Amino acid sequence: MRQTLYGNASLSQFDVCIIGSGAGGGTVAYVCATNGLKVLVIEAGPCHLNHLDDPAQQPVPVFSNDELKIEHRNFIEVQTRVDPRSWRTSPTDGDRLSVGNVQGLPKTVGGGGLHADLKMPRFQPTDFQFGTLLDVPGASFADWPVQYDELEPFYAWGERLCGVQGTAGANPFEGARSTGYPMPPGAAMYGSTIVGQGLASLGYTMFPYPTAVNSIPYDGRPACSDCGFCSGYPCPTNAKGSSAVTGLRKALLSGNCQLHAETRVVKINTSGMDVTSISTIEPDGSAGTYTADRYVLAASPIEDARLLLLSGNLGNSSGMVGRNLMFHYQTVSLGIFDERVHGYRGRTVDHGFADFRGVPNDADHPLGGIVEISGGGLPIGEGGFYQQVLSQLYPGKWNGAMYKQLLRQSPGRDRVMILVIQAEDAPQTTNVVDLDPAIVDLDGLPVARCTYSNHVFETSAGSFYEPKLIQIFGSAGAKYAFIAPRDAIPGSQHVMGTLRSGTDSTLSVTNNNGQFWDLGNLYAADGSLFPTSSGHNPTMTIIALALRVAAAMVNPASPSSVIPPAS
Amino acid sequence: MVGATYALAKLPACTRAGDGTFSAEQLAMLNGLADVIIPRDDQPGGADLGAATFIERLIHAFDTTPTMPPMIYASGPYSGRQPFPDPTTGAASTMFPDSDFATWVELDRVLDAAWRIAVQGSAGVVGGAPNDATLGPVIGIKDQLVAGFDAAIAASQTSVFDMSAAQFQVAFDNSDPAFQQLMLDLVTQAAFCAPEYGGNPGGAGWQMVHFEGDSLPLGYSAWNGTAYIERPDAPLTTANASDPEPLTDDVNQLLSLVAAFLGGQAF
Repeated sequence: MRQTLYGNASLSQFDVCIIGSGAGGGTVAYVCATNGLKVLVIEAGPCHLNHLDDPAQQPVPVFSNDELKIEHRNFIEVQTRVDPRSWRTSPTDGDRLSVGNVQGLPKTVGGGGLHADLKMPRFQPTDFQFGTLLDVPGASFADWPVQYDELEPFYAWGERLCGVQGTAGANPFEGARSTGYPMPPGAAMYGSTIVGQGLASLGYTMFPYPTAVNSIPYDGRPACSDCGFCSGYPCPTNAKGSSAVTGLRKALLSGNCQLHAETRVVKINTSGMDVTSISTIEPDGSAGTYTADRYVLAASPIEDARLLLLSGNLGNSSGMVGRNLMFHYQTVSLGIFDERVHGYRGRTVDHGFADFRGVPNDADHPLGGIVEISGGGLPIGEGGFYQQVLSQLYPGKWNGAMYKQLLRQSPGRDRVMILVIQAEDAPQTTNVVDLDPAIVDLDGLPVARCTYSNHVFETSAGSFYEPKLIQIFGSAGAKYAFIAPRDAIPGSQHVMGTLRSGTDSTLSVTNNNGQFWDLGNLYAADGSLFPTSSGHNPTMTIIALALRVAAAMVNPASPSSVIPPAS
Repeated sequence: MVGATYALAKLPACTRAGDGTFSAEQLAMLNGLADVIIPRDDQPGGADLGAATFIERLIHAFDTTPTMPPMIYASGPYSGRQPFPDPTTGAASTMFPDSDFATWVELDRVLDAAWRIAVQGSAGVVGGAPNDATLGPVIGIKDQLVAGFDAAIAASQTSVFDMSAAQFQVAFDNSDPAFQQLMLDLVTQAAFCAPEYGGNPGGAGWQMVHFEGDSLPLGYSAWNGTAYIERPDAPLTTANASDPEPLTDDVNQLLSLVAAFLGGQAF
């Protein structure tokens, strides 16, 4: 029989119920449970970490170096035949343009933290102030209700909790830090050192990417062995510090936490300004109900908004639930080298640079984002890339001989390095999550529909930086460089917004503590709180915010007093 | 026996044989089209690399005993192909883990329904797929393949058992685009999947493209307490000792076209 119940099974009364077990939910569980609150975590997906709640040994994942399983049979990713989303660019498209995977994050214990390679830079101090600093017609930039200085101690706590490797001061654009990184950078990938030579010749500053991957044994978890199956792959050895094996596991081991996997929350029930219970579909398909004093939404921005809408448009007196949906505007450049730079070995991304993050209101330095220096993928995915190339160049006639030559000589895997800008995506109230009028999930519930189109703010910045990416590859000695075509649906799985936090209840859904303006015992603690997207990977900021939201639940008068001292 | 001949001779003889899932004609078409997608030359072709076995195993993924999970996801974390690193030196040891890939992951309610629909179509689950009424019924993988094979067989002027490579090429190029893409996906997955899924026999596909395959628990670096130790045959931080298969002129020409097509640069 499958195990779906973890932690302290004897608990029956709960102070806090958390919906979602990813970076936000697992982190809130950690803070609340280790501070004595009784915590219930409800996760829609299965648990693939045996012994997750076993104090006698580290978890044993069923994750593996298996490209077919993870990337092509979507072991932890959304199964779109039974759990799809729909997509359109505006209401003029009709009900939808397509049905399938729309920025789906893993539904599994550990959530999106499992598939990520856990690049964890902090946001810059000015990233929290774009409501004041920018005036962009058609966009809805807003200041964050929490500023960098207030969040900084929570960033430091999050870096300790997850085990982030990095070099303090190496990124000249990073904000002030109270502490160094918990561990030094790991072994450098050959390909990134090659790209680094090109960057240096052009005056850019490459630095080790802050990443929650153990470079040395840390917190009972082993050092990473650079197996190469990293970005998109859950870690088979627990060297990655996802919240599943850090915060959530600590919560489960505290004795104050109970986790229900494979349990789908389908409705939030209320009375007046309070949530009274949640309704679920249990692992066997039967109906369930759970109660607690307080409730936390951490199921990812799109699913959070969907659940509120499924529950009768809850928390939406502002009309802002589901609005300001944001992804990062990714510009992807490929550089193909004559030599085999074997970028498929290692942590996928181990270095980056921030010279393209830009400066507010500076036309010579538009607001782009941090740039990841990435290795190539693996053979099945590589084949898919060649299939696209060959279908464009030889339409109607398959060229198997060339396909095989490409696979064997491997310009798209063994000789490629990739630069990815994670650029600021301007918030727009017209980019919105609502319920599809006809498409449903396995249980017959309406799925989320995303209506989204880009603003010229990010497209113009992308165009500005594209030739610079190609120039970098030229300086690094690449033989070819080009910009990858953009997909109709953005490829970024950095999902933000939909439950914007703010200081004005008419313009936001939640306050500075993640608490809903309309419902006193309901909170959010994931990327949904972001008023703006920044130009940096979101996970560490999700964790820092979740730490702060949970700390305020434990001690509303002084959240920072909940932060444990660094050992 | 050396080089390419040895590589082909090492392959199991049964990769093209089939298990009766398809008719003899359909199986012959499957193998012929697999060799169009990845032609056999001095290295294995798509049929050699286990396309038929891989596809049959997927189609029969749910034909298991009540106590055995469906054969969709091999378990983990280790395959047993790579050794543990020596804890003191970081170099490869002679100790190998057991193969976890030999067993299969039990599916939850959602994964089970998703894969029954994928493999068997809407009829695979009670009441059909969730959105049949709006999007139409889902056609399962076997039915898509049978329809594609039968259409290609019907369109050919020659018995499938006598078709030349050129005739299989015409059959593929004239096939329905959705069927073409399904075959491209499945034949490529078969060539480079973990061998436990029925393709890539003995890692022949990985060897052909100079890929080390699943790398754990050895990985590409090992922390021995003071330093990272790397595999001499597959370095992480430095260049390879040699290039087993450099870029050829025709591939360079194609890459120049790609760069130009996408507005990039050749340097």
